[in-house]
Amino acid sequence: MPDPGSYNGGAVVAMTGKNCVAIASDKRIGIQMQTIGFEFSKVFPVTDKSYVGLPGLATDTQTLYANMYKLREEREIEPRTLSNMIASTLYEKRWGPFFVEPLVAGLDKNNQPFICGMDSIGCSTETCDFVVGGTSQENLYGICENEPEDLFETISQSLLCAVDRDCLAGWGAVVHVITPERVITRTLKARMD
Amino acid sequence: MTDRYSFSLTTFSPSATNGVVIATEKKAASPLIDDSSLEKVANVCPNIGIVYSGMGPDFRILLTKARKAAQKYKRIYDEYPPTGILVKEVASVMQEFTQSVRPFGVSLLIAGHDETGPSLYQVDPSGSYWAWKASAMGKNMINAKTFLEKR
Repeated sequence: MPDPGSYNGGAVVAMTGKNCVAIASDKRIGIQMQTIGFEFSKVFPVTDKSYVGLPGLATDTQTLYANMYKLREEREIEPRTLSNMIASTLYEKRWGPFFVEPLVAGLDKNNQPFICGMDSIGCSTETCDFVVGGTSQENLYGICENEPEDLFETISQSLLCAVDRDCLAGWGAVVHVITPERVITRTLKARMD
Repeated sequence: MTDRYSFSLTTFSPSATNGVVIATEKKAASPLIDDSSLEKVANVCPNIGIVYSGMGPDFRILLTKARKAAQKYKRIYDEYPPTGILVKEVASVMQEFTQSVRPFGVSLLIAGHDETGPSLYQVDPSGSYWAWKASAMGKNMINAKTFLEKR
C-alpha cells in the first residue's frame, strides 16, 4: 500500500481572526486517484466552541473521532485541554500510529482564539495565525502566508486555491467560523472535476 | 473490632468565599514520638489538599492512589484535575474496597481550588461523598460542627 497519509486525500486549514477562529476542510474522499465520495468533511465539532479537523487516512479519522466520546467531566473541554488529550491519545499508539494529522481550533473560556496542529504521534504545535494539514498542505502554506483581511473570505479562498492544485482533495468544501456568539457553517462549491 | 476503627482526630475546614482551609490537631500517641514525622494534612497536587480522620496507614495508601490519579490526569490533559473529578476518583477507589477484605478505615476531607472556585468534599469509607460549605470530622466533630454552623 502506498503512503497512508495520502491514500484518501484531503485538506484542512484553521485560522485565527479577531476574537474568532475558522476551520475548513474539503469534502472529497477517494482511493488514491479515484474519487468515491464528496460528502466527507474532515472537521467535527467537539464542543460549541471547539472543533477538530482530522485529515489523513479516513478509517483513522473516523476511529479517532469515535474515541473522543469519552466524556465524563460534566463540563465543556477547553480547546487547549482538548489538544493535549488528542496528543496523548495519539502518543499511546506511538509504534502503530493513527495516520491523521489533527488540527484543533476553538475559542477558550475568555473567547481567545486557539489553534494548533499536530503530527500523527501527537507532537503538537500551537500557532497564532494559521495551521494546515492534509495532502494539500504545501499548497496551503504558500497561500496562507499572505495577510488576512476577512476571515471567512481568506480561509475559503486559501482552501479553494490549494485544493484546485491537488488532485487528491477538493470536490466541495465546508467552513466553520467560530465566534463567541455562534458558529457559522457554510458549504462551498468547488470545481467538481 | 469496633474499637479498632474508632480512633480518630478532629479535622475541620471552613471554606470561605475566596479560598478553603483545612486544620487538624497534630497529637502524637506518646510524648516520646518525634512529631516532625507525623503527617496528617497532605497535598495531592498543587491545587488540592487532603486531611483524614481514622487509620493512618489506610490514609497513606489512599493518598498514593489519589496522587497517582492526579498525575495520570495531568499526563493526559496537561492540567491538574478539578476537585470534583479527583474526589470522584478517590470515592470510587473507596467504594471498590467495600467489596474486599475490609473497607478503608478513614474519612477524608478533600479541599481544592479550580476554575469554578474553592470547594470542599467529605468522602466516607462507603465511597459516598458530599460537598460542604464547612465540615468537621472525627473526635469532637459535634462541637466543631455546631461552632461552624453559628458562623
